[in-house]
Amino acid sequence: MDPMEEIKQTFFIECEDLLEELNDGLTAMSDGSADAETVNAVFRAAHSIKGGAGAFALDDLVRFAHKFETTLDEVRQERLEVNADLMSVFLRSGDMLADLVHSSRDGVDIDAVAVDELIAELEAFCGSDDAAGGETEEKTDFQPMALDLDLDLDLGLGEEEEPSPPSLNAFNILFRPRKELYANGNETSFLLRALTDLGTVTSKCDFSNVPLLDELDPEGACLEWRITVTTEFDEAQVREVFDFVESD
Amino acid sequence: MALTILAVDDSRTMRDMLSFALKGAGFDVSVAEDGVHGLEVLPDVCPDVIITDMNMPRMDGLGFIKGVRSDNSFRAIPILVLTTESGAELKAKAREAGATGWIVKPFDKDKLVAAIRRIAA
Repeated sequence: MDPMEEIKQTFFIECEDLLEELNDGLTAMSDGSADAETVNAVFRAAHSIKGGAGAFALDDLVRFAHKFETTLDEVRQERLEVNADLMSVFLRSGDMLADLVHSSRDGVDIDAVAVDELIAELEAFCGSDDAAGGETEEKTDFQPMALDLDLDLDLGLGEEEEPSPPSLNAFNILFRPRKELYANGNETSFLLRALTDLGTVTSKCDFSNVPLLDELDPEGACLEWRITVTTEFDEAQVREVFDFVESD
Repeated sequence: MALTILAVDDSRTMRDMLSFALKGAGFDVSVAEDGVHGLEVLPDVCPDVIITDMNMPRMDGLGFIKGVRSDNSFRAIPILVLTTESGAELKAKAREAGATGWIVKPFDKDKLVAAIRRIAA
């Protein structure tokens, strides 16, 4: 069997366990015996189903699970109180989630109107334009990845200071890491190496801020680099090398 | 020598998917089911890179990252957070706890591999 198809079958088997966990939790919430961990477990079950479904581009399942998860999160964060109306919607949502899992597994259609109506009922409790809703708009199928690109590190990029062949860009970069960069497991030499994958790199390390040994903080950051990258790639792609150290 | 990746995720599907994708890219891959399990296997696995989910039972991703960073033997290991969530508040918390980078599920295999190579020797 195709390995991805095999993993997809594993996903549907895992869904059965998650649905059971979810239903047990909803039953406890319904009879008033649930504690915070019960609500967490119900939330995680819906969350895990959504996560796996996204990997296989099961978009209808992702869409419903996301709305269900979002409403559960409101309860989890104590922004929404459980009452009989909400429990009625939750219990029917548990059933709908199971139906969507099974229809996705068996490749059969489900009543889209009924799904939309229940989503509207969930939205009555959690709103229709929650911040995380954008996730469902992403293309799925093991493809997209969102990376942090909004740099605010001290990274001065100056473009095309020197003449270059028409198809090449030259970027001057001032790279001045703070100590948090090292504390979070990043390593400047790896970032410099990644730049070399983009084109020709010259760099000069400035040691002038390195104190005498008895004043040196071994976990501090006192080096900075002046780097020139000559590359066919654009500024966004150069910045992407630094995307994990945006605030470091 | 192949880099060793420790993937921590409570979803078996996601663990299988990460194993398949990363082994195919030439990495050695070990998995753990949650933060507690991740900290348990850490001394045996000695990973070059850790990939962790955020929402997990027993110990979530934040607790796990803090646990890794508080152990002098492992505090320098790069940790990538791999989650469906993309909220700025949670990202800030993860960074404060010591996360190296953040990737949103579903993931692109090639970009994940590129990110790993960018943060590991």
